[in-house]
Amino acid sequence: MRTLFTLACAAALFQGVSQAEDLVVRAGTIHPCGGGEVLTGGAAIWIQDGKIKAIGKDVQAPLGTPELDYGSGAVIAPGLVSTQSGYGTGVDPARAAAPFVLASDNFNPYFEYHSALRAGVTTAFLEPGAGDRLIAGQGAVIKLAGEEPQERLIVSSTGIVGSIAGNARFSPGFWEPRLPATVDMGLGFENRQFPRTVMGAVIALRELIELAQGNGDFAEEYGTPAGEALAELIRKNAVWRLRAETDEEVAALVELFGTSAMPLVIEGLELAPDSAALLAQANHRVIFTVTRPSLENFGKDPDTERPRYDVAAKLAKAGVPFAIQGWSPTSLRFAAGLAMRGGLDANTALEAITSRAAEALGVGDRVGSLRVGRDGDLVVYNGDPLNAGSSVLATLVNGDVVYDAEAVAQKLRLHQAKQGGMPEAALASSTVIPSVTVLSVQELHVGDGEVLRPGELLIQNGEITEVAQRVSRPAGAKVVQGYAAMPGAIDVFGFLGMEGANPRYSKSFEMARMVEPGDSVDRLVALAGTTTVNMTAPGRPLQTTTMVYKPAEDHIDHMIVRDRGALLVNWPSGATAQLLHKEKEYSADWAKYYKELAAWKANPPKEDASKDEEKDDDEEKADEEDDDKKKKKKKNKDKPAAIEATGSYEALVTLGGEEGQKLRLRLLESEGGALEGTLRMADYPHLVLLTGQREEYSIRLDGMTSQGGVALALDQEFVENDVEKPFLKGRRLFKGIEDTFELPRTSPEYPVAKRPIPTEDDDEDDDEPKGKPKPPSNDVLLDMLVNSRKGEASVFVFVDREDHIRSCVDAFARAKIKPVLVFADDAHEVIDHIRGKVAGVVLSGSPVVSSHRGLTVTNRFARLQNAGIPVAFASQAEEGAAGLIDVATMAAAEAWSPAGALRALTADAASMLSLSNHLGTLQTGRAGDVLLLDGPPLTPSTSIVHVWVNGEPVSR
Amino acid sequence: MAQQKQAIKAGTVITMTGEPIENGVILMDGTRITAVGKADEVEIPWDAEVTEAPNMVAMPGFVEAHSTDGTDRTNETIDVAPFFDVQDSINPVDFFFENCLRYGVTTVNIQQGNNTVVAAMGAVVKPFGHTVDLQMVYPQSGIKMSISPKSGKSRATQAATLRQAFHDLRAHLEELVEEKKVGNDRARREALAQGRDYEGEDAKGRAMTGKGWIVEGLETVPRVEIDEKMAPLLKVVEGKMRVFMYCGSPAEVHTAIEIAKENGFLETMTFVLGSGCHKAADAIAAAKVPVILSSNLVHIETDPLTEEETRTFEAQVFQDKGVTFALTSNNSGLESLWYQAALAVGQGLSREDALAAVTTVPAQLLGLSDRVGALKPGADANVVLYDGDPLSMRSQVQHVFIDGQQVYDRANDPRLKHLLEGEQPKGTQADPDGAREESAEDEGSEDEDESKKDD
Repeated sequence: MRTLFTLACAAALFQGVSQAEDLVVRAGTIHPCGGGEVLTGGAAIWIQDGKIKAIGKDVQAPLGTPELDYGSGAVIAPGLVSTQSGYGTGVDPARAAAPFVLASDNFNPYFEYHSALRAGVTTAFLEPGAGDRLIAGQGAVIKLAGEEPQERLIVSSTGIVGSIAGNARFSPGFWEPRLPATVDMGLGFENRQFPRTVMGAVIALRELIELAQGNGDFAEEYGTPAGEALAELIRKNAVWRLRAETDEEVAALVELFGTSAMPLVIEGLELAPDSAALLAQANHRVIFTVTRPSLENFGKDPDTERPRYDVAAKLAKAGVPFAIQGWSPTSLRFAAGLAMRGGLDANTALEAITSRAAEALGVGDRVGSLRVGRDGDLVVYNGDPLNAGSSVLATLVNGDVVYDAEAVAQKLRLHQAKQGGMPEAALASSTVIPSVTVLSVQELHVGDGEVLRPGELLIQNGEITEVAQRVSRPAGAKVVQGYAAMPGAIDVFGFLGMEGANPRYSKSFEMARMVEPGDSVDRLVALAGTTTVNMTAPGRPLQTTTMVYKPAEDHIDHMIVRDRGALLVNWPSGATAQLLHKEKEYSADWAKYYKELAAWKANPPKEDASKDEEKDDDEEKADEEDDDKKKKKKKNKDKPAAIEATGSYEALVTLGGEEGQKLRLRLLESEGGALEGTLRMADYPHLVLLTGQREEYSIRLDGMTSQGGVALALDQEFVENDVEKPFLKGRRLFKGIEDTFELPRTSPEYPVAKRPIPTEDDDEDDDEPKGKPKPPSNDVLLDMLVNSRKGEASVFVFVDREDHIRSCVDAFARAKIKPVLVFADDAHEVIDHIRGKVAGVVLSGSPVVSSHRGLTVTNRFARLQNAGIPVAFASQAEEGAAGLIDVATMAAAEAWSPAGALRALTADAASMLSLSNHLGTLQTGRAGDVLLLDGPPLTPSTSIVHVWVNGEPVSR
Repeated sequence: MAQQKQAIKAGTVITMTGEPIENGVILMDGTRITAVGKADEVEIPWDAEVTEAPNMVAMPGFVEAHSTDGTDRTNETIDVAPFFDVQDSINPVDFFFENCLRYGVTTVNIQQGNNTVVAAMGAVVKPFGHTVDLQMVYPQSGIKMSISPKSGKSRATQAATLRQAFHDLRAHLEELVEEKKVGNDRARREALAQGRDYEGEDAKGRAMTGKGWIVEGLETVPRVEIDEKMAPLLKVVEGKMRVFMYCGSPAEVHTAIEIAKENGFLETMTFVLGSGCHKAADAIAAAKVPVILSSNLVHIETDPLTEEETRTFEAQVFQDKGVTFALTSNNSGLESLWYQAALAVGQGLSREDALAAVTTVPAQLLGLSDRVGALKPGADANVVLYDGDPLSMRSQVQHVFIDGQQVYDRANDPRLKHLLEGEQPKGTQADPDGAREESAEDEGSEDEDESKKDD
């Protein structure tokens, strides 16, 4: 739902398209404001025709009503109301009193208020001028989005707006207008006859009121229109919104309006720390202005007043209801945070920028609080609205999403991808953008034994970027709350990804060739907490390598963690001993080569350019010849000769009587026509490994599934006898049903997942200059030994008896390699001997052994781990890997601890696979493989709520 | 003086009243056109002087609906100055007028610049004649107003000043009526002191008309007693004076319509628009106000995220909404009306509509439909002869007739001869650097700068 919506919204976002339909918005917490009780633990708002229809923990909207669920960590609050904006042009009228100037004329309905909407502000006050006039004009209230532009002006006149504060008193224009050069008056000059004192300003206001009432003869000073416009406003009982900054000014206003019936809103008070008591009696509305923090000098006079932030707290203590305004709409939340100095509580602060602010503008019955019948203006935050670290996920006005952080990010990323040259086709399929997720939990189990209580985790671009008790919440970050979080569990020896009990494949068939995202069992295992598997096949011959991969990863290029994870050997074994011996020579050869290479590089011989050119020419000729051959082949109308079958074949075919079923075949042909590959069939949920043979055009393949064997008999054909367009025609026999189909070749390549950690020999140049030392030939197995010493691979040794363990550890110690002892069930008996010499121990069964006929129990893992030896769990199973955490939980219950077992599942397992820098702990820079739990980890009653792999949630 | 009777025989005659006529004849008698038709249908009088132009295209001269060129200063510092008349500011030898002929413009409505609140009364002139009187087609063609803030003003104070101007007028009229009631003759004395004639039609009182508001009892006040600084605005309120209202941004359109409604000049108002005002096209269409488009025919907006440009051809938007629009060159020298029309055709407007937007439509906006903008009997004898399609980059204006008088002949254009052939104009001295030409162009651009506003 969320993704679907986002896509739809991305298009509409900048066009202000109004979609007047029902909508239900859900989040963990809702602050209704305006005196409403905070709803926690999941609540919703139903908006109909732009108005709130229902709000509560149990909202009953009709079936099929679109829903936006922002998750348990999200907080909904009313759209913020800014009692100032600066959205007018900000020029004051020439005269001191210009009540006829209308702020509504300043309104630009065609402006897009992106930054304010992004900050969660949905309603704002529009000033008639810059604010430095006794009476600057009449204010207005606008909504920043949501309706037809002209209808956003929701109050065209809020009444009189003015100021008796310092700047207004010192601005030219009081009493006498600035005279422009006119034909009538000749060259004018500024008359500086304005009151400098508060007294003077109050007298001026009195005179104006008298003028309006027809009692005074001040028309000359203030201009005739002022009196008329003011009289009209006073007759309508318009609100006076006057700015007063200091205690003196506040007191003067209270005095002036004390006996009159004219409603007054006092704005400012930044220098008025002692007015709270006076205002408590006076019953005027108050807007407290939070001054922008700045580095401006303020004078060396010790008596100089500095703007105060604690005035709001004092007002609250004295029981004065007030609104808070900042220096710009976007600063509103930060300003409210500053106003909390001096002890103002968060709830009052939030109301001061929502419901109280709306009341101060006279629009409290429409916006500022979330109640049935009010406008559907709300903001979804990814945390506490008043926490400076939280940001806005979405802003809604009249029930329309007018800002959506995810949609903006999506649009920007798509644009950047396009700029970066990503082809259209790829763009179309990459609808998923990397999530930004914050996990907020009571217990954050890092994996290495450390626990943060509470703890938070920020995952960006698939990686953990912040771990702390409180982390930042970047724009668009989705916050998920839960009880506990731990790293995804690692199965150090499993078969997940294999299909069939004993797949037949050659030693040379690399496992990287068969992983593919989207398997339902893979997801099932991940959802049970096992996010990484060190994979091999049951019965796989020794002296081969395993592959570490993340089965539930959605993107093929991110599935493989290390394509050669561990070397599998056994002990005692002559082959293993020989391998260790060979490795010595091998390392020596390489060391020699590097030495020579360094010497050669330090003194490079001059290159013979002409020879290179010759070589190029030869190549060109060869190319031309090739081209000729190809052309000839194309011209030939007979069926061309059979070609190598390597490649991908894909089509929608009819399987088991059902049309449009996807079938994908990937084949790799080796010498003599031997075929290996994989088959993905729409009518079977798993990948099937195939082996077979090609003889001329005829291809025979078969594989094993849990539902019996599958056999393919295919013939190579060519479209229009074009050797470039081969396809396979034939039939499949599966579950006793025969299907016939044609499979066109979609690619001549066998697609292989990218390997994230490149091996050294990848970057070798083909064109070796003469005289350059030649490197010794590579040996995969020996490389594994070398790499394990560097901590870039592991060596798994199958060994069980005590004496064998001793001799094994000694032999590897001589080679300076720390092996992982696999299925070393007696390792706990030789702890002193193996300590410091092994990378870890894996057992073949439960670590718990009972002795003395059940009277005592020993936990072998506990003993090993306490001795500083890493231990880890291995499933030795396919889908059975889903039970890994439960098995560990059971092991932890007997003579061990959940903390120890958690370490065995995560940090210890990662270190055993030499992948500590990538996996196994919740630390900065590690992959975002996280489990969210509803209770303490490795406790029988705890279940897994959510799983992330590389920062992306795993869906069921 | 113009020939008594003339005939122009042209290969093609674009009349703007119907389909173009192949092998057409335009008959002119004095300053007026007497007949337009096919060569075999129109009889050429024996005594008419005939101009043979078989390879040329004849067209009515273009009509510039609004221009601030041709004056010595385009803007006035006084906010409200409806009593000024742009005639007093027109410079008949301005380079602008000379260029108008080169580009086939034969009628120009000259108005004050946009940096104003209520500006002077404009004048419709022809770009030929050594005095303003000789140039004059139609004096006091309308008052220029602006709803976009004059420099130093905000939208709010601009609107307040504009409203105030009408408020002041009303207060003044009410005061006059009141004074009449009590028998005070201050107004009479003031009028006499200002040297105003106290005779004729204005010596009588006349009841006020107007759709916005009226002051009862104004018939008791002789019109001449009304302050002459206010009088033109009274004409506006009474619907007797056109208003050219400048709107720099769509936000201001709504305020302008509101003020026009309040004061009863909605029907006599024409918008002079800045770029981007098509966003308010619905409001303009609803108010049925014709518009003069900005010379930026294409409005460009950039997406805040991707910086992708969205281009809107504004004329199309207005046409789709049924708004009458004229094109204008907005003083941009070379991009004269032919260029604007050609650009509009390039953007997808039909040829007929584009040509109308620089001939018949502006003529209609100026109330001069019967005189300019089309070749028809009774109209002013303003004919332009092109050596090809008037909207083609390669065509040149060869001859221009204004009021039946040939006022331009490309073959004898002294400036072109000087520029292209190096021939020294008669009565001038050789200038080795060609500085004369440059300074003339500078003047042009200077005026342009002044009329542009920082919005």
